Amino acid sequence: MKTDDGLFEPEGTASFDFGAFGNMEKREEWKYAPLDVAEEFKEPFKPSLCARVLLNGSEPGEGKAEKLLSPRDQVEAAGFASVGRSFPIRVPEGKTRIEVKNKGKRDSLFLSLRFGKGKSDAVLFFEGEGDGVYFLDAAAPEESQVTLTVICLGNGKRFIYDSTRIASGAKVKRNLLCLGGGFDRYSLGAYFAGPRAEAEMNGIYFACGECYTECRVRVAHSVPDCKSRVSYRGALIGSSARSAWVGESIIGKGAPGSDSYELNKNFVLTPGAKSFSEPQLEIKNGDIVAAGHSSSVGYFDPIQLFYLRSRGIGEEEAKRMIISGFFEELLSNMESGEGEEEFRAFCRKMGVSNGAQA
Amino acid sequence: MAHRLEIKDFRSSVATKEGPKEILKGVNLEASSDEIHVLMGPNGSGKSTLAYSLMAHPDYATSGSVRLDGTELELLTPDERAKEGLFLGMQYPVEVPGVPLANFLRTSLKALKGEAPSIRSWPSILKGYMERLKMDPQFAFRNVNEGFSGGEKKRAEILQLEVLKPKFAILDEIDSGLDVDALRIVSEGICRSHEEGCGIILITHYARILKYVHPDFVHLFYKGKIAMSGGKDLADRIEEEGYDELIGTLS
Repeated sequence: MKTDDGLFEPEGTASFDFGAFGNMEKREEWKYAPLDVAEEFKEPFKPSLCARVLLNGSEPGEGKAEKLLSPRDQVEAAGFASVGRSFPIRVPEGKTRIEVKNKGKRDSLFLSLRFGKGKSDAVLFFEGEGDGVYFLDAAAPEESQVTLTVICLGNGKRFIYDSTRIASGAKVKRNLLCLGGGFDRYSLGAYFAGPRAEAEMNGIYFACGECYTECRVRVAHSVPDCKSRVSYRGALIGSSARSAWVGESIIGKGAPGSDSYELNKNFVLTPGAKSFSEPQLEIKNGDIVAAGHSSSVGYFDPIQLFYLRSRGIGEEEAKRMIISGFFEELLSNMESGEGEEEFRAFCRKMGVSNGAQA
Repeated sequence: MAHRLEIKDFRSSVATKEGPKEILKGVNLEASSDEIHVLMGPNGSGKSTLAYSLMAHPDYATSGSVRLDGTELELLTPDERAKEGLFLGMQYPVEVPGVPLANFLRTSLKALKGEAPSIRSWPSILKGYMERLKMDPQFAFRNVNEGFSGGEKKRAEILQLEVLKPKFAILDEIDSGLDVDALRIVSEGICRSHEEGCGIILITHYARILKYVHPDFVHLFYKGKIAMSGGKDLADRIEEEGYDELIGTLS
């Protein structure tokens, strides 16, 4: 199925009608998230308008914005029907900082980011204790080079629906750092709208204490010669911590020359914590460069720990070094100054270090 | 003053499906840090088990006594043993992704000595050590052992030995997989450490390293214990006669 915009929509229910999705308990897309949280969001609600949006420190103007793709789950449809404000934002070349802070009640808003030609680097923060359903549509024009880093902080219950349309020849880097301490269900899609485009999607999530983090990443190859790389790493601390990652890579019939790889690694640091990892690869075209995936959930490697400890490094510090090292490679791939800064601050708070500041 | 390592009736078992399997069957060895001891023995005789067990590797359950300068190490953790001055150079050094060698060594120095060199001075200090081992200084910024060749890993082990300056080093097949130049460079590092007061227990299969590292004692390890001890001449006999023939003379 293709939208008017030429985007490829994967098969399955897609509707702006929140009633079109049937019983949530039986839906594939809700098999990991705690349904008691989703329950509160499954019908349209009156948005509090509490969330504050800042664009480089100033409030951007509201306006009309069109959603690229139809909602694909009930909370998305109900949340979109609840959108109180829309912010169409033109993102210029160079650096841009966007903040969405919700310190109040449940809200729903829509951000539409239209990137310019050339090289842009935007960072978007979701902060605060307030709950919300947020929509983010980004579009990278032909031959553009776009980096968009989203950093989720704070303790709210958030459902975030984020899609990026990538025009021909564009190179898009989508970084995500989910460092919140509440509930985050982040759905991120990259949709190729023209040939020879590239999407690099890097993500780091940390589920601590009672927190739940779910990242659903979809890449849709529907046009020829596009390349996607998805690399997500997560860590869980605390016996009640839960995480889920679902990576969906779809290569359509009209996408010869596709090159796709998705990877997810999870580090369970506390017994009892649970991490689910589900890579999915749907290939409808045999004429491709490559398509692969890899996924793991693991504990500390006792041999690595032994090696560090045999050099005098105590067990706790050795563990902190291993955790930090686990994220380091991905962090350097992100090339996001603010993302790195936030992550390092988070690591300091969690007592995680790779020895640099020893 | 020389340091003293005393190993008495040291036993080590590994868990198997059939229950614990004893690999070390009562090892006795006394060594002074002004000596170089070489352990040779056929495959599967327990040499590596001895090296790892002395450092409290989690795979092994041990008993007996290991004393370093009179301090009993047997119940100590690997990091506590390192702090007492024991070092293990591994046959297969472990990769630690995301942790640069320079950070790792500085953290290790801080843990062992209580203070680390300043961040400013550390790169040039480390570079000095690396130059002696003819290591590319860029390796300091690479993750520990990640993507290192076999020879580079062994040099990195000796780099750690020279930087950390332990009282005693157990070097498990540090010479395996090295070309002639690397063997000489690694051997020079071992000799420098020894001259600075570090006791050496070198586990090897080949007499070729003994051209550079001159042993005071050579021990033949067989079936989980030291079966025969001698001087450099024992290594020569092993090289000439092979283990089978020598072991045959024991029975």
